[in-house]
Amino acid sequence: MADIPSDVFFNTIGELSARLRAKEFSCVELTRAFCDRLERTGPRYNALALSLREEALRQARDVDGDLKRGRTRGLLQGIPFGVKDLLAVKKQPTTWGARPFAGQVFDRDAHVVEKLTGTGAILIGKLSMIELAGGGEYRSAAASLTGPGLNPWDRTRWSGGSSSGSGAAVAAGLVAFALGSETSGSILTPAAFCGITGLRPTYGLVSRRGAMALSWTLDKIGPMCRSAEDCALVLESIAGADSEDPGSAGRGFNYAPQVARKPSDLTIGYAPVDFEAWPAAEMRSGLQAALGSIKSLGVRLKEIELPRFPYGALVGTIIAGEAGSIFEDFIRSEKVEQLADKTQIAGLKAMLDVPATDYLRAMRVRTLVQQAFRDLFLDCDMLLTPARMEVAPKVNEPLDGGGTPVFSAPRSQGLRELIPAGNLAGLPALSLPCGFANQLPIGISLVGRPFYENQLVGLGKAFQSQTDWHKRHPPEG
Amino acid sequence: MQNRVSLDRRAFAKTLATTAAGLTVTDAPAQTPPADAELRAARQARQQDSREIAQVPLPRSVEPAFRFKA
Repeated sequence: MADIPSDVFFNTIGELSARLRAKEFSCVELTRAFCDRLERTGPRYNALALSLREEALRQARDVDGDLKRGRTRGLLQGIPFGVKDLLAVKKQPTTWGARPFAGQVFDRDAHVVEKLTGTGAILIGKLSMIELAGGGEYRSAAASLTGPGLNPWDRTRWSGGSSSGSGAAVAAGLVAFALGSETSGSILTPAAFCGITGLRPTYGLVSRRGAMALSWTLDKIGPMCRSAEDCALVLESIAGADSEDPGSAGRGFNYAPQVARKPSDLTIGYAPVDFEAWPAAEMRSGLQAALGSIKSLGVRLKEIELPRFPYGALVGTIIAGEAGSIFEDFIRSEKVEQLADKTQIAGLKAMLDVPATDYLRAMRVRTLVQQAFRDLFLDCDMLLTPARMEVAPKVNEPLDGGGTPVFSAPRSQGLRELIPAGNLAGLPALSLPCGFANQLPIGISLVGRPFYENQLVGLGKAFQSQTDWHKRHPPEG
Repeated sequence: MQNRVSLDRRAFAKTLATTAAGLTVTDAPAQTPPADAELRAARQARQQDSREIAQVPLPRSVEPAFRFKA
């Protein structure tokens, strides 16, 4: 049996694939090594919901057989990965991170799981998450069946939510890549806090069949990886039309870096205030350096501001209307009291009081938001902001910032609300690590027009060819 | 609303239980269970969202983003 060198745990998909094909180790050996690491270290970060070692090793043996016979199926073949526990894996518990659903089992894999395992990628585990993806809003990092997601860079800090385990597991080298989901910020936030690359696809590009529904019109599933290129490779596999997802856009994604426009042909919208005033003070120099790196690629920078809408209120009302309907029976039952976070319980109950007229008004204003973004993208090709304006918060402090000092807010809003805004408009986003502040990762985020993923990945790849932040990994715990 | 009725019943039951535990009836309202305070805060947050959204000028011709497509 080959000894697996420890650097494999931080290899990109392309690097791992090359080493598998060079027979440096077998797929079974690689899978066993990742399973050992996930089972040993995953609980240290409260990142592991369920190990799938047995089935993974069975799949790995099949891949070894295929490779021996020369049956290659692309770069993902033989690559160990994990999925957020909001995705169904047949005959295995799918808890949605919530105690009341701890015994839930589905008899069919989620569409994205079928797609990835169909390419020969090896599913080695389900990864922890904020209960019910935090739809009722939550105040504590501990709002999860598996406890607070701990950040591999500093275990006193949160790994972010709601794809907490996916972020931590990729950062700590417990899986080669992971799937997360985003309704409003749940891929971008853990990616930024954990120092990894996350891609939120255009709404409708990836089927949600077999995923917990929180909001029919906002939910997206996307990759969380070591690089922009890895995100594209995973997206290529999971994207595509699906008649069983009514939100499906009916189109796929081909990773084609050659069709991406050169950075010098791109105009990037940004707001200086987002790099100078809104972020926590310790983050500003790193973020400004990242802005400089993007500029040095040859792009044109154009100062803009987001159209004025109450984005947070719109997202909150739409989630309340849709999740209130999806979870109505659960919310009316005593089981809701078993959730870990009191704020979440209250938030879910309050959803049932939202009048239909409020929901409809929010959805009508959302039409205006989409029109405003179409207009905005007449002047620029992409938007650039810090992925988050703060580093990962401490796990034992309230997430709503209770007790944090009030600072004098800048007059300009900049693009500060781009997370809810981009989700309302269904836009794709790519979060890229860009440095550290107080030894904690910070990141920038690129947002593009619908189905503009190749362009985002192209610029992300160019940024990552000039920087090595995405190659850093936390010290072994 | 049905939900509100059931919550009120539960709150009533909690008050009864508190009373049975030895407190006087006049003490009961001061012992508001934190869960009720959380629920009030959550409802207020939803109402605040509603007020913010209501301030956006909205022509009658604008339809909701149903069958939402990016």
